[in-house]
Order: sequence, then structure tokens, then C-alpha cells
Amino acid sequence: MMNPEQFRRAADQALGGLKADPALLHRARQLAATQRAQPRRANRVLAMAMSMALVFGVLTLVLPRLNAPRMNAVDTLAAGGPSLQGMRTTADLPRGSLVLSGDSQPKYQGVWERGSGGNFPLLRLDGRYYRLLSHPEDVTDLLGAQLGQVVTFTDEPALDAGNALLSNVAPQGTPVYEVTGLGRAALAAQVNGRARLFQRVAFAGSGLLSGETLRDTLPSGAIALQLSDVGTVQDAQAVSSLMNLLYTQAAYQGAGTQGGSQTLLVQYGNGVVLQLAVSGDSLSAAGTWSCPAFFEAFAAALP
Amino acid sequence: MSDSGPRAAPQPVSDEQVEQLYLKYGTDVLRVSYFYLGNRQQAEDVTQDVFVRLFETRPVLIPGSEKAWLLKVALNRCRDFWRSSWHKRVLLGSRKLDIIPDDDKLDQRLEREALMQAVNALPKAEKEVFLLFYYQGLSTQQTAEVLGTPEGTVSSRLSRGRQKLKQFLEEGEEP
Repeated sequence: MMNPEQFRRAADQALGGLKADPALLHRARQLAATQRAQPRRANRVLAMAMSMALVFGVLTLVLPRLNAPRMNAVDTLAAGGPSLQGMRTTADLPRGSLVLSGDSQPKYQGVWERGSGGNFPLLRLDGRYYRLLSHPEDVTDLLGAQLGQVVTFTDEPALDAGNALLSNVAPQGTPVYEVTGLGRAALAAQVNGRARLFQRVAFAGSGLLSGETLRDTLPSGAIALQLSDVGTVQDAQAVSSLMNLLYTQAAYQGAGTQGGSQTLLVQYGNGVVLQLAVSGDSLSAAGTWSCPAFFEAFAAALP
Repeated sequence: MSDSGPRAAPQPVSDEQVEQLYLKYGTDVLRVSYFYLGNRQQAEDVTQDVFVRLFETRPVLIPGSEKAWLLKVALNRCRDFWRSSWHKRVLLGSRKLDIIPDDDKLDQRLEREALMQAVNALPKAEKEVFLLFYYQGLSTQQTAEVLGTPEGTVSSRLSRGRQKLKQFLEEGEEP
């Protein structure tokens, strides 16, 4: 009969198949890194926000004139009054009421085409929205099968509750094509006589559809990643690793799109560049994804 | 303690030291957690938590006390699991421990399994003492430090546990 002194040997034999493997340590290390990164990033943001608030408050109180918008104003003069030599008059408006707006282009480089009004130039196919890209300017060489023709052309795509192929930039009857190698992540259609590329994005509360993942809207096979104000990663292994990090660790936050102050440009071997807006630890295109680990890894992967 | 860790001067543990501690004690932490909880997935979660905490907090570990620190954190996490799954225990009762042998030495298997099940069936307080003292080889003083109890309490729990174990192994009566 065994006694308590033999318990260690008995337990070691009985549980000999239970061993702490390297995968468990790897998971622990990853989890710790993620948990360490989040508070650090939050603290950084908080410190920056407090600094900004302090600086902004001082400027507002002490130097109010510096807080005025830096825009070009057109001098105006009441019509019918005494004219001044050499001055060009405009209309009977109060001084300063005509203002030339400053450049509203973002400072970062991006490929999302801008639109007029509240909408960007887009296509809708099967409930998925696609935004016109400024680059490349012609993708005739990448056209795949035709998927349909624009049925509804409207300036107010958000108000259309139907499911017809819709656009606010490609006229009715314009053929729409799939793009070789990009799956559901992009489409192409003729705009102003050229085959233009459209990237899958979120619009009017519509992000991922049921059963879709990030990979459906951001295909694998990238050859370079560029994070504005940070740098570019071109090493094939590093790019692949960073993309895998996104696929495996990015958490879907919802169909909302955060504007962000940075962009992540994802370049493919066929010349296509897709864009994600970056805000803090989040990336947005066809919905918003949170992935603090990606940014840590990106910084580490920079040459 | 005869089974000591790296003999470096006391300072916050480094990544390399965490890996060394995992290689040296990870399996002990996993097995003690498994014995305590009877659930492999939960035992792995506890082991992961212990090493996440080590990576995060970077404690200053006195050389020779590393294993006690790891087992203390593991047992605290096991207790959390134990408390959080009270309804399962109440509804389903105590589970018999599944043996996960390394090989098939059938000749001693029945005796070994009987001892394992007897220890597993001990009341929680006595099982903790058995795991640390008999299985992990801590002294009564170290066991008392890990559990936060007086050394005399450890001794009396060991004594009571031994009696119950003997009764179980001789008479087949569950402790």
C-alpha cells in the first residue's frame, strides 16, 4: 500500500502527461505585452490631452487673438459709400463676412477620393459599400468578371433603402467589375472614361456583413505597409507578420468609422494601395478595428 | 528549500528569468493547479495567469523563494476559480480526478490512482497542505508562508490528512 511520502512520485507518474509547453508561455508573454501596452498608451494619450488642454487654456485666456482661425479674409466695403483709390469693392456685406476657407486637405497621404457635400464617391453592391480611390488612376489591367451595372444613380446614397447596384459617381448603366486578386475588398467601374478602383468601406452604419472577417475587406498578400508619420515596412516577412497580427488580434468595434489623424496604406504587388484611417489604437475602413499589438509590432518592425 | 531558483542578486525578474522559471517550475504550477481544480483548461488558465503576472509585475524574488511565490499566486488563482464555480460543485458534486499518465505502467496504476483519488478527496485545506508539502516538497515553514497560516496549523492539517488518507487506503472509506 502506498503512503503519503510516495505521493510525489505517484502524482508525477499519474500526471506525467500534463506538461507546461512553450505555447502556454508564449500566450502568457503576449497577453502581458498587450495588457502592458494598453495602459501605457492610455497614459500617453491622457498626458497629451492634459497638456493640450493646459496650453490651449492659457492661449485662450492670455492671447485670445492668437486663437482666431487663420484664414484669408476678403476686405469688404459697403456699396455706395466713398470709394477708396485702388480698392476693389465686392458687395454690401459686413467687413470680414466673406472668408476664403483654408486648405481642408489632410496633412497625411491617403488614397481615398474626396467628395462634395457629406458623401464620398461610392458604389454599393449587395449591401457592401465601396469608396473611390485616387490611385491607381486606371485599373483596366486588373478587371475581372463583370458583376453588374449601376441601377440607381443618386446624390443621397444613405437615403436609398434598396439593394440595387447604386452609385453617386458612376452613372446609371455603368458596368461594375471585380478586381483580380482582391475578392470582395475592392471593385472597379468606369468613372470619367477610366476604370477606377473602389475600396470596401463602412457607410451609413453598414460595415461587415454576417460571416465576414477583416480578411474579407483587407486581403492578404501585401508587400508594404506605410503608417503616416511613423514609417514604412517593406520586409516581406515583417509585412506578412504584421498582417497576420491584424487578422488574428484585431477586435471588431463596429460599423462606425473613425476619421483619425493618420493613415495606414497597404500596398499590394499589383500596384493597388488600400487605406485604413488610424485613430489611437484603432483602424477604420469597412468598420473599426482595435489592435494595440499591431502598432507596437509596427514600431518594432521599422528598419 | 532544496529546489531553489537562479542565484542572482535580488532584483526585478527579467524576461530571460521568467522563461527560466517557466521551464523549471511551469509544469509544477500546472500540475498543482490541475490537482486542485480537476480541470485541465482551468489549470492551464491559472498557469498562464501566474506567468502573465510575473511578466507584468516583475517582482523582486529572493533567490530560493521563486517556486513558493509561483505556487502562492497559483493557489490564490485556484481559489478564485474554486469560488467562482461553486454552483457547478454544488450541482454536480466533486469530480473524480482524471489521471493523465505519461505511460502505461499498469502494475502500480491501481495503487497510484487510489492514492491520487484519496488526496483529491481530502478537504480543501488539507489538500493544499498535501500538495505543497508532499508533492512540491516545501517545508512546513514554507508551506505556512505560502498559505498564510501558522506552521502549527500546517502540521495539524498534515496529521489529520495522513489519518484520513490511511483510513481511505485501508478501508476504502472516502475522507
